[in-house]
Amino acid sequence: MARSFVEVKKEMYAALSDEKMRTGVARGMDSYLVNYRKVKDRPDVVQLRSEVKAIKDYSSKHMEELYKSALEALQRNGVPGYYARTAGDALEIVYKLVGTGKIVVKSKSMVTEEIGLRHFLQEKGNEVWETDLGELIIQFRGEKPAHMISPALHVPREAVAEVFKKEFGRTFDPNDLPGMVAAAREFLRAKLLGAHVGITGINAISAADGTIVTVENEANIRLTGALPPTNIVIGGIEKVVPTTLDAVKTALLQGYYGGSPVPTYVNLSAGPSGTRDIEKTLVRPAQGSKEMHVVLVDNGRLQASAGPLWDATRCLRCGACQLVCPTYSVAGPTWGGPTYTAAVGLLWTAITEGRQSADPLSYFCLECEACNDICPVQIDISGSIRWLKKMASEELLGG
Amino acid sequence: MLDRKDIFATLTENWRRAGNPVGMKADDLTAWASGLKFEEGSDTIIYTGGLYQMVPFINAFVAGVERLEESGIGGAGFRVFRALSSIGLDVSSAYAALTAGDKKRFNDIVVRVVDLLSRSGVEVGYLGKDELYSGILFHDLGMDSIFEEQARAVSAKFREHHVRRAITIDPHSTVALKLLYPKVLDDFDVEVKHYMEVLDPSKAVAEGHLQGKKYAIHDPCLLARKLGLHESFRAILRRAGAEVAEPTRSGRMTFCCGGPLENIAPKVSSEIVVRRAAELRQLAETAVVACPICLANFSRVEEKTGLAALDVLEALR
Repeated sequence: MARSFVEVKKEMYAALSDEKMRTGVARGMDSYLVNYRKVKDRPDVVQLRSEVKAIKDYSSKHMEELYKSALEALQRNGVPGYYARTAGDALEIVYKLVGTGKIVVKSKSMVTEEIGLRHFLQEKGNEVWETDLGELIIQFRGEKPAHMISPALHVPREAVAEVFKKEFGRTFDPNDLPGMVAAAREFLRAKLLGAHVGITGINAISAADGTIVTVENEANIRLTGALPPTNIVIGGIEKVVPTTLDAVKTALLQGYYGGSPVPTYVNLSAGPSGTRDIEKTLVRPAQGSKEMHVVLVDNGRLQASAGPLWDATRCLRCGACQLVCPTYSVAGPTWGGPTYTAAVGLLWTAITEGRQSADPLSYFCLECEACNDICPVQIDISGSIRWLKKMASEELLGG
Repeated sequence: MLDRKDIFATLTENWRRAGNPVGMKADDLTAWASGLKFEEGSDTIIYTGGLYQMVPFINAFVAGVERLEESGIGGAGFRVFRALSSIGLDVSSAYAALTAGDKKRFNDIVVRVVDLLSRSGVEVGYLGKDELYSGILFHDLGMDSIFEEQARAVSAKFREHHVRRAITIDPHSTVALKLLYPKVLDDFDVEVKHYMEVLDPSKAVAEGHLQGKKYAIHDPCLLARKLGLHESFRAILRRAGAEVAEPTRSGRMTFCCGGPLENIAPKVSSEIVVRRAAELRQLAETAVVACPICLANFSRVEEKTGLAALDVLEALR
């Protein structure tokens, strides 16, 4: 049920006096700028931006053809691929693969938030753990992600120490960041080693050969994808690009603009583990996962790619636009829908939840275009948000 | 908590009655020009858009909206589409209480720009009561049918007065006329320039007269990102010899002051400007801006933040 304008405004007004949230978001925005300045004028990044813009322009306009090719390529690799038209379809597919009574570890993925996968699997009697540190923090706190790349952006160190004390049963010094990170590592390592299923996301996937690319710093994606016997990969259909090289470029740019001037790990994965070390014959599994399944989720994307919000379906989900947004700086994640917050997040709310869900949010956009200016693929975010306003305002004036 | 419909109704009612969203009288919009001589029948005009003159009225209006929001009127159960005047927004007395001095400060800004243009060798005409509001706020709020109606009206007046060239003074009206009118009107062929595109600092600005003054610069978002005039803004200050302190977020990466939300969510707007003012206050006691919406917004929190804000046009002597 979409919230009304007044309900949104009330929540946003209340958030203005949430000092902890404000502190977390402000610190995050400041340190983001430092990293952004390291990449923004780098000649290779400038070049990459124009290449990736072209890749995403093409991919958005050929979304249906590309996701079908990707599914065929996965099939050829011996990887079952699934198209999920709706969130419900996606949950059903994953449920059939996971079943019940399992330990499931997950890396951070916005599309799994969008379809409510963690809660769904828990309700089906599974133990589910987020392995991304930020996502684990919000899992502990029972919240939605504040940001596409930094889900716990709104949680300052003091609040992390508090929630870890509650979960791990000992006290933490908020200024001992390595101590808190080590505690999470220890906790998660046990879960990773015992898990039956690892669920990972997609930064980009190649239509030509089904190779999936992810970028990360924590190594939780590689562990989540490789350690448990079953790896389920989930991503939106807009993540499909023509080739593996395109996918690497796209994912790298997302990493740079997500705030990692030198991403620590870039993972390419095209199936469960295997070896050709005996007589050059492929034998599966080897050291990593025994089986791999890939679920490509539509949930409004294909329709959006042919409509007024098509521009937003080119989004890399780097979240840069959110980290320069003045409204977000004071209202934080309350300015958002059930999954996606602020700036391009308003457009993703419209794409995945329907326009009615995003229209009350649109009025809090300043149209200052800080988002447009930073977007690595030049999405007219501000203009598209104004389109949402226009649709809603003209309805109000007309009625 | 006020619903968007109630705010829309008020802005629309004001526009129907007075031609502008805050319901300001025509006399107050044109008062700045009294006593000034303009080129008769000039095809180059100054287009003020009324926004600088509107600053004290905007502040009174926003204060009224804030009071109403705090009083708890409106809210989710409030469904009647009606103007805020019917639920207690009384701006007429607040407008009446504005002193001559309150208005003079902002009127003088408009006078100053005409003077600077003249010193640059550009003489302008002025349409007086025939200068209509640009409609930009209605565009910002997605009320495109009103914006387009207003664009047609402005364009018709320009045609009536044979205007070929309009020089604008604030970023919002400039965006309306320069970037949006050509999109919504088929036959808008008036050349639109912001004064910073026309002004010649070497002629108009006395060299070094602001030496010893230090300002934290706040780039208005539209001026920098939509109009690309952030360097021209600096050139004026450089010529005057002022010391310009750059915040981390400046130029094209500037941080919007929050002004555009002043009607729809004044509390959010105010939190944003307080945050921005704190950033600027670390650099200097006074910020320099180049936009009436920024100027109004910073001035509303001046006491709270200890940051004074001046428009570049009033900083110059």
